[in-house]
Amino acid sequence: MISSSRVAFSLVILSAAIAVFSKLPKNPLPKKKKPSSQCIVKEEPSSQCIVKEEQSSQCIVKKEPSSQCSVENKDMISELPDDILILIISYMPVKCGIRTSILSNRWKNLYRYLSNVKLNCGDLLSRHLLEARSDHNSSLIVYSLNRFLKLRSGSEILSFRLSCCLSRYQFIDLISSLGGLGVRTLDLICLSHCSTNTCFFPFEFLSEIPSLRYFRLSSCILQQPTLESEFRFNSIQILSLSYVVVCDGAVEFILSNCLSLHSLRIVNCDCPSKLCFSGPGLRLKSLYIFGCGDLEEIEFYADNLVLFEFFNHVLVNFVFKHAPRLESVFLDVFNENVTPFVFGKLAKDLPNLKSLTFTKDHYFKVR
Amino acid sequence: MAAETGTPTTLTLKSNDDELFSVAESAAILSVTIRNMVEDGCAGGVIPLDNVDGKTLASVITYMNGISAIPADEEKKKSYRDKFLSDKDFETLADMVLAANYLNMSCLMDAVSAKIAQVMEKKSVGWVRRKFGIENDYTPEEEAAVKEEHKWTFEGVETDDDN
Repeated sequence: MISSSRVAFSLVILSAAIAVFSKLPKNPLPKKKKPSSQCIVKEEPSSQCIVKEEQSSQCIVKKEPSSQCSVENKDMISELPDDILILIISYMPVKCGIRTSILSNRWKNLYRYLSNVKLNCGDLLSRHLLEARSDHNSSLIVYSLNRFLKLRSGSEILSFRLSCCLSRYQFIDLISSLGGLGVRTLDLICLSHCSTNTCFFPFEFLSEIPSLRYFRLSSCILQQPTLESEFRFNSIQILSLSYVVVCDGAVEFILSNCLSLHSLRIVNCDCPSKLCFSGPGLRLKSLYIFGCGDLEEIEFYADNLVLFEFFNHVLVNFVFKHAPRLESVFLDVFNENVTPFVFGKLAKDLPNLKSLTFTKDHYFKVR
Repeated sequence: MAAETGTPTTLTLKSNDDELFSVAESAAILSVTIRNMVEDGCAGGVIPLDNVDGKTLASVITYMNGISAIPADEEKKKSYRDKFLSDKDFETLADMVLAANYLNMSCLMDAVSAKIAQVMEKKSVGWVRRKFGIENDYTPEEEAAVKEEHKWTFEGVETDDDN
């Protein structure tokens, strides 16, 4: 026998449930895998369920089958094909993309197929750590980074960009983690606001990434390694250095290590007074130097060099010892009149030149 | 609809629920699938599009007409796409990304994917599951394990707000 208060009580629960349904039409109901004609709503202990009930903090509501239950729950996004979901994830910042793995089993591994990864300190550190700069703990960054890369093993990363501040040894670790991931494009920026502002980049370790073709390095220091044993070849074809302190011997070291290098850009770097582009079997085809103030002399002994572009505020002494294939030269010198040089020494040194451009305003504009 | 003399060529597209749409060939060939049919000379009669319903096809055709009316100016095209997608709900976006995939329209596919990503990012897991009706089929233990695995990604700002 059911007392009238019981009936009233059930009605309260039912109407509470209907209220919940209508308020939150997209609220996913915990799907029980039974083909049920009933829809069971388990309310989390919540403020929405204000029912005075003695025995239980949960309220289980039996509800008539309703069309709402099936329609509103349709998980359309998870029904999209993998490649579309991966495309969607690729439009998110990497951190958000990885976070999708928590959504459901369907999403668990999709982030692993992201082939372009961009990360920075802010992604790898929690916000409060980043704001307190004194606590800028790069070991935590390295921990997160290694964890991420370890989980990625087995799937390729085509391009990897990191703006962060790591020590030399942390870079060595990073390079070795990237080694097996098929990275073709690597972009490393050492942020200057970090506590360790002087990062000596371990260039010689790049040989551990055999797939690397394009490498861009910003804001750190390149030295010539001291040990002869550090002499290892890598597969870089295009190298770009910007805001890098290029120490004595570093360029020569790079040229002798990057046997496939065909394009080199040196932009706004602190260079030694003399740079020498020479080496046995040098494949370098194009050289671009922009705004390297301390330079005084550049020497060429480059069999395959075709294009040379130079932007600077003053002219430096070019010594063309051997550049038989050099076809195009672009000179932009802001503070000097290069006409006597172009029609005098340059014409004599490079009789095979096909194209020569010299201006003095472009450098200023670009800068 | 009979083609009048002097008007540009129009194609007739048929959705999977048998709705017919006329669209200028110059706009329709934004779809590589349709362009291939036109180039192969198979676009004479009605072009059946078996994977697209009428409502979605109408949207896609609006997009085709809108975007093809803009001259080669990437900025303007982008702002048209943003405006076009701004009022679409998720269900429509999901239908459109599938249609764009079937019709091989990479610009629409990229734009819709970016839009969905934009909605999802920075939102809490609970919000995304609720909004998109994603069923959480992890056991509590599995969910905790995934969360532990990617601990660092769960730090930072998440919001439950709808905007």
